[in-house]
Amino acid sequence: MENRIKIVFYFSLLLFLAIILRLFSWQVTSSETLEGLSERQTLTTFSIPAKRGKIFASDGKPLVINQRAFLVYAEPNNIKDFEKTSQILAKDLDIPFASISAKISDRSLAWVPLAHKVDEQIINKLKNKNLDGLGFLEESKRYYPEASMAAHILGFVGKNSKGEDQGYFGIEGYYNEQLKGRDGQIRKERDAQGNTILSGKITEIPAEDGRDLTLTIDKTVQYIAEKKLQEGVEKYGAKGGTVLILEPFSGAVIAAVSLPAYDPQKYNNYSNEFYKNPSIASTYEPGSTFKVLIMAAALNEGKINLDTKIEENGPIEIGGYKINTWNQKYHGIINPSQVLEYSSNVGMVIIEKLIGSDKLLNYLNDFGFGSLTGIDLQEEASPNLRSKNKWYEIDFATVSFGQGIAVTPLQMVKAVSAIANGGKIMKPYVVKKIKLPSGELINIEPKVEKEIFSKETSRIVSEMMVSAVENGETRFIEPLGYYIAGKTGTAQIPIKGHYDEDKTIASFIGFAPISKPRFVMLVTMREPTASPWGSETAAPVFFNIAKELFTYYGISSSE
Amino acid sequence: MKSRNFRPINILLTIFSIFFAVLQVILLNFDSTSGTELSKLNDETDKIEIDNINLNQEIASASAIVTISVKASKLGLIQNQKLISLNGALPIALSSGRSL
Repeated sequence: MENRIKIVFYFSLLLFLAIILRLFSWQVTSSETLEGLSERQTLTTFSIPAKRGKIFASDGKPLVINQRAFLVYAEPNNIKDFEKTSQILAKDLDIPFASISAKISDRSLAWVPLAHKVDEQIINKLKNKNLDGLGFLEESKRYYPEASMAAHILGFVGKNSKGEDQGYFGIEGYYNEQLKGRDGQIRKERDAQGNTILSGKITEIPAEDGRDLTLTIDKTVQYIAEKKLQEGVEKYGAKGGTVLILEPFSGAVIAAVSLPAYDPQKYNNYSNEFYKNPSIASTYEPGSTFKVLIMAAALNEGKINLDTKIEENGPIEIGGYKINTWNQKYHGIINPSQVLEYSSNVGMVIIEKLIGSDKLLNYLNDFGFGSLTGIDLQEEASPNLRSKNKWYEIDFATVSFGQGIAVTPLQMVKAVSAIANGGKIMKPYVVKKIKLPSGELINIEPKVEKEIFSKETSRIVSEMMVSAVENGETRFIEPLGYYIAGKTGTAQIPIKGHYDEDKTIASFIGFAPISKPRFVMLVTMREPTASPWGSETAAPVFFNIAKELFTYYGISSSE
Repeated sequence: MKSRNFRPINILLTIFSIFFAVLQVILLNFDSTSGTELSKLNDETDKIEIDNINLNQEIASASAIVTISVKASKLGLIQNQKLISLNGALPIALSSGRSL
């Protein structure tokens, strides 16, 4: 009896020992492997996509927001009827049948993306059709409530080489890193039904949403400018045009329009040439609008005053070339104000000679020509200013009336703003506020780059520009009761080393009201067919916009 | 003597052990079923977020300047032609002695 008890006892002991050894093996020796296996079964990792920052106009109303969209994907091995599925997908997704069919019938692929950023309505239609082997992943897509308004300023969001969202051109391109934010991640344990086990492991790296941007763009002014430019381009049979409006005391861009434009929501329906913003990346010869800057330089240097006598008796010969007035009319002895009124090339050449070539080149550099303005838009470009040793006498002469020099519209408006604001070159900018996900606001302050003229010079040139509008070629079309400082420009287009006889860039630059300018505006019309002259094409568009702005800003005729 | 004093403590400890063991089971059970509640709350949050995104889009569309302009035209509103000012444009005396 005692022996049997002993046998049972030792046998039980052996059993317990075996259990302990097994437990030791599971819980100590193989603990990491088993933990890993368990985590793979129960732990799920999800990406938390960051929301791309929104873009607002100056009044806080949205210009660009995010909307729900979906990636449509197929699992070819789960598709039963390829023909039917391909037909439905081709129709609903608007993708060629052959393309869809090739993708979904490739059984070597476990998963194949078919279309990105598909609208929710289309997804609901597809879901209702209960197609096998089809899945949907939520994505985000940009939505433009104002359609194609300010397309060149905003840019668009496409894909980069890794398939990630990336901003291109304009604000989307320049501020891409700030707008895109940073995706987060969450790892949690789930039970067999897919529900979260609260007492299990949950680790989270929160997503950091992109920053919201508030622009200096005034939606109402932008709308007015777009409407009036469109009307002008159609009326005058131009190939295109730009309107650029800045606030002269801050350098803030209030409106920028270029035609032809594109719809950033459907950017891939347009060729690449539409994406570039002509206001900052295309060049033109400014023509007579440039005269106001040379005049200001001469006054600032004390080389002329309002009573200086300029002899405009006939063409002037420079370096073997003959320079005429635009209409072959000569007025004898005139003063600098009349040089602008008559838009006299001969008068400007005489003034340029008084300034001197070195001083003139310094002013051109100080105005910012030949350099990027540094505006916060992607793809800004600037033509180079030739080095001093490449300038000949004729080049200095022609630059005095705005030919033989290439500028961007933005460079031109930036320079003329100095006349409007008392002599300061302001750095142009588009974003005035950046809002962090935490709610913190970063305000972008205006920046003075340099003081180029005295206040007195600015005042005198402003008056001369008013006189040019009142007494020059635009005297019959300028708005009654308002004083606008402005200058017309008609520049021939250089083609292969010479100027085209017929094609011009017609322009008008100006600001108002004269007492304290609220806006500086440049209108250019490319190759207008109704008339080549700035006074007959660009100037009327300028005045039409200006009249609307007077009403909008509440500017009375007494200002 | 020692064994008599020892017995009440034993009983107390046993009761406590059983109590906490049962409590742990109850709490863990509660925890495991509240995962479904969390899922429901997450689903509701997602739905509200989606509604929010869609409503934001509708508001943005409705307040777009083109939309407002078209609606204003349909309602018969006309453009404000000009500002009425009691004073005319003041003459500018140019530095040259001329005036406009």
